[in-house]
Amino acid sequence: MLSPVSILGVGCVTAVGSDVGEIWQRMEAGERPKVGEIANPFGGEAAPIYRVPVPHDAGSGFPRLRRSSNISYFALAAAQAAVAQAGELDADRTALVFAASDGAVVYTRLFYAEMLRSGTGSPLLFPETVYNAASSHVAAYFGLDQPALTMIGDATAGTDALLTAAALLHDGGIDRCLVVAAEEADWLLCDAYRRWGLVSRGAAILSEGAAAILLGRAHAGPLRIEHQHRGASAHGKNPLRAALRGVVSDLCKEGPPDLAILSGAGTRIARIEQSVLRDLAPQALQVAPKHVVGEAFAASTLLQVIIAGRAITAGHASRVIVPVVGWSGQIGGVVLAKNETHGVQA
Amino acid sequence: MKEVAAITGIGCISPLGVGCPQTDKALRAGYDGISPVSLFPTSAFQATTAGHVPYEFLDLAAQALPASRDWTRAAQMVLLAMLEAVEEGFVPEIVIVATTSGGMDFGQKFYRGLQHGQMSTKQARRWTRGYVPHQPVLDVMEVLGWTAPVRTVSNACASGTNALGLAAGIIARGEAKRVLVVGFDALCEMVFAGFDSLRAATREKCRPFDCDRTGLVLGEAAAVFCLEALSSARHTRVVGTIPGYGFANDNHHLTQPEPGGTGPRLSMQRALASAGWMTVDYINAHGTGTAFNDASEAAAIGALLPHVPVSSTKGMTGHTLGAAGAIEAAFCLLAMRGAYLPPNINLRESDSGLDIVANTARSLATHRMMSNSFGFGGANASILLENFVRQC
Repeated sequence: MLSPVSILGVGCVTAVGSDVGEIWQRMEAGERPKVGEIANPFGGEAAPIYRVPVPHDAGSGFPRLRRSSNISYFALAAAQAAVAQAGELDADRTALVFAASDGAVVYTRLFYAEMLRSGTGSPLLFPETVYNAASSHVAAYFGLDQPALTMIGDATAGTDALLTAAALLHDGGIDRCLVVAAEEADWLLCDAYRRWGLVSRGAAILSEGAAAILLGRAHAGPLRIEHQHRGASAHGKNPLRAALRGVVSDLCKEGPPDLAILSGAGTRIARIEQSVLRDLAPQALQVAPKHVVGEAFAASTLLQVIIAGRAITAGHASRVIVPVVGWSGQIGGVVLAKNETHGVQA
Repeated sequence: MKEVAAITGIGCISPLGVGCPQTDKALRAGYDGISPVSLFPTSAFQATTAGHVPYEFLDLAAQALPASRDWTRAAQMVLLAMLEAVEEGFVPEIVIVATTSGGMDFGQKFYRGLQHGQMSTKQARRWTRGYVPHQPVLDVMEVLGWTAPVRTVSNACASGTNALGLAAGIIARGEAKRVLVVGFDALCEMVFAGFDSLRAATREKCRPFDCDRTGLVLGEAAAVFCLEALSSARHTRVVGTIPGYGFANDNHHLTQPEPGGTGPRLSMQRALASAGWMTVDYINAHGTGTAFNDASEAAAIGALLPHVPVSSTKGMTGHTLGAAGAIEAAFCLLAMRGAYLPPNINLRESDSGLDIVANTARSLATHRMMSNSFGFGGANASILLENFVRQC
């Protein structure tokens, strides 16, 4: 079975900045960023969005990022912050797991639109449309030759990435694994998710950005991901509430959490999530960061984990559950706690 | 002791056939599954051919499950491969999916619907939901009532091999006793245009390792594997094992391999080391037929395993992208069971310096094979497959 892993450094790029402490304060104050609008050029309703300034300086002096889409800049900026917080990175002993739900949607749209217009698309755009392009840029920036994997899907791509990282650490050959999740927003996505009912002005607002966590072995850092659930699928024959109950119940087995960092905000799924947590972890205070930072799917999942870690290190909680419910019925979750074995030789 | 991943079920569909028996026959015969593209217009492109899964194969999906008549090609392929692989009683605890283009077909429909202002709410929801990359697998899982979590790896053309390696690792660590692996990709216009724009696709035959190779031809396929812990698997069902897996990242370029083959060599070395093997009996090469890929791979194989027979099956199927690692692992298992090496068709003269299994299958009893998959982003993966000999 997978051993617990410790968190050595974190970084994020969100609609309310990159300082996790500030994000926490904004959540406490219920202070939301200014809602922007993004228009569909073919007409129709404009969609609300929490836009994130693109950190172009993240790639300064790194030629591979010259032509890349925003998602790669978000990913690299978050990864740089996580590595900086950890203080060091041994490129020969570090793997990378990247997660995304929608990937480089801007370049994908541009390439397809150009193809429809002129019969063929730009060779400069197409390579950046593949899901693992951002991962490749981040790996190249840090000079990693160990595995660099990309997990995709709904928001649980973030927890899948954490599971994969723990597996790579377990198997040996590496001492660190950099987990990065990123998303970029586009009017096409806004339109699609609005029509699907996943985002709206009254509920979660689409956003973008990235989050990164540098993981090490169980004893390496003061904070650890104690339990990672392997997840479940909900569908017509396995309703969401029952599937989520199974996952949350497993995650609570080793001790009751005193805080829950929720994955939902304002949607039907969020109401189910709140209700299941109220039922199975009644003592846990519930916090829904997406009201403040918006919905950025896989990136939001890692941000949930980062916020959970912040809550522990700031003394707000001692054991935090992070449930994740994705839009395709995938469910995952982790539990974070203070690492009582930090510094103990394995 | 580390648990070994046993393969207890295989399902496959590709231009070579639907189901293992038909695929095996075509693979051994060196069948050329490439034909003119009929799914979308190609007049603006350099390339005009691809490895299609014939419509009559996909009709079998609707016969097996009438509701699948409205599913995408990808979902129909996944359904047929899953129904073949999964025998009664196999319920996975985890599902690992490999794909690169996922539900791109729906993404294209959604965009065109917006552009032309012709999209009902129902269509919009269906197309948006269908864009979920692993939706074809979820559709079949719902039919079967499975509740296992689905993890989707999208590491460009190495995805299928990565998925098998990740699944074997899950078994080895004892995280689960039954894992399903699904690799799939269906032809779609945007991806076709993409490879065409890079001038990586050819309008000629795909000739891996040939001196005059001019590029790749795209294809489509799905392959499904049931993996179980060997210690608890019913041995009558075991068709092979996965003793090793290697992965290496090279940072040379987003689309071009490092000419010396550093990444491929490292992934093969890591695979061999993970199993404690020194060599294999055969290598199913990534062998796309592009000048750069084949040269880089040949350099890596030549440096590490210079005398091992090698072939690329992409001349027969086309490059099936996220499915390639999965379908080619299935080819290896079929070839080991049939005691032959699959041919590298369309070869006239090789510049690789390798022992290429040229044009016709070679009869040879083998027990240990390696399959390589290399992708954009510097993703290099190698998987080891071993024939399972039943103890009497």
